[in-house]
Amino acid sequence: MKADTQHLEFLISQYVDGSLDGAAKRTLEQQLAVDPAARNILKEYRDLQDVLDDYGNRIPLINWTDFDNKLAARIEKETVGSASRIFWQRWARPVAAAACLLLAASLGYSWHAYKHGSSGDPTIAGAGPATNLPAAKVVRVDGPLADMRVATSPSIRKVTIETPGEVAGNISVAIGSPHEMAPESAIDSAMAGMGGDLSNEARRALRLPTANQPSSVTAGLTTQPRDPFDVP
Amino acid sequence: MSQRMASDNPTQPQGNDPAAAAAAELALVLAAKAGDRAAFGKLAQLYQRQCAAVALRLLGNTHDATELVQDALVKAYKNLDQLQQSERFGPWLMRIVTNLALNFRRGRARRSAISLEQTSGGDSDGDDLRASVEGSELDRPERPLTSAELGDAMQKAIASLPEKQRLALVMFAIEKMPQKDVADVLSCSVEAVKWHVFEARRKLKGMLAEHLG
Repeated sequence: MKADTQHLEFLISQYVDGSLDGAAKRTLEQQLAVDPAARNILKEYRDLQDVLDDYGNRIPLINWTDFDNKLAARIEKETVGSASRIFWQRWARPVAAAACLLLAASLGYSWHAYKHGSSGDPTIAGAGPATNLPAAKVVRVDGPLADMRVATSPSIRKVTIETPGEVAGNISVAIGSPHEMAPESAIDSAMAGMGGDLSNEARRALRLPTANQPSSVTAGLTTQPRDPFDVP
Repeated sequence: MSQRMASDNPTQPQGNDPAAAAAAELALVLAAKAGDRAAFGKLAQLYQRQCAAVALRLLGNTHDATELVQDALVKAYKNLDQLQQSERFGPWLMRIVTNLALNFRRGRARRSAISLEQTSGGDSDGDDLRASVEGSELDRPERPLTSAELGDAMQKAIASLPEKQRLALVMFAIEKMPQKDVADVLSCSVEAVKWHVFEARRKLKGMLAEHLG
């Protein structure tokens, strides 16, 4: 019974909307003609729809010109902002990744240089002329040799410095990295022919490097011109 | 002023020929999809009143409703490329509106919603029903609400309906959207829309029995 009433109300609801067609509409109209209860239900639904229509007809005043202007401004602002965000979303990660790679490569290179730089290609640097000291064992210096720093590595067993001029001043010899032990032969060959001599203390410093004590030593030299300046 | 005029019906925006109106609207949608903001502005004008009306019925507050419609239109513009059926812009936009409105309602659970009647009867800033009713000759209602209590009771009763019944009732029985469009918005069949509307009416009839006399 309840289901029948519910079905009748469902049909009446559609009838009020005008969405009930065909046979169903004709059947309902026949029932309405003879059934006061059905007509009463129809009246309730029509009254309700009247109230809904009245309710729906009430729209508060809205300033649509202002609305349109605000909307246009928002669309312009948000789409421009969106384009900017899209740009950064698209490029921020690749750029950041590239920057990280560059930084890592740079750090790696620096670390490599730190670890192997002094044991790599030996260099000569100082107030006087400076020359790279590659695997070749002969360093030619044009001009007076003074205040010179010779960096070498344990793999270098013999250093020959050729200079036509005088040799005077401080000659600094760095052998290997601070953490590498300089071979005795390298010390000897680096210093013996310079006309000077290493003190025992300086020799120990070269032989016993520590992290805080670079394996270098400076020997004060005052020598006579010698050509070639050969370190046997 | 609050009366919605027949000419405001955005579903028939381009004269009397529905086919021509649909073609014109489709052209606007395609132009907007190509980035024509002016075309989108015209589209917005076609639908903003209906969207605002639906949002108002769902939120009960004119300010929130217009802000929400702004949000919906901006969202629609930014996502136009996702509109598969360009000829179905209206239901698609209305779905955005209803989704935003439902989210808004859920989000403001602790905020006190200002009903249409409360707004019109209160001392609010004038962007409300009563102020609008009294504010303009142009929009004067064809007939007033039966009573202030009835409007308030109607708003509360509608707000208490289950989601789909509320949406179906508002869009179909109040805003007169085609059942097919409502079905699109609700992602259901036309028959289901009819059922939701019926259920909503049946419940309203019970809740408003004393007012309907």
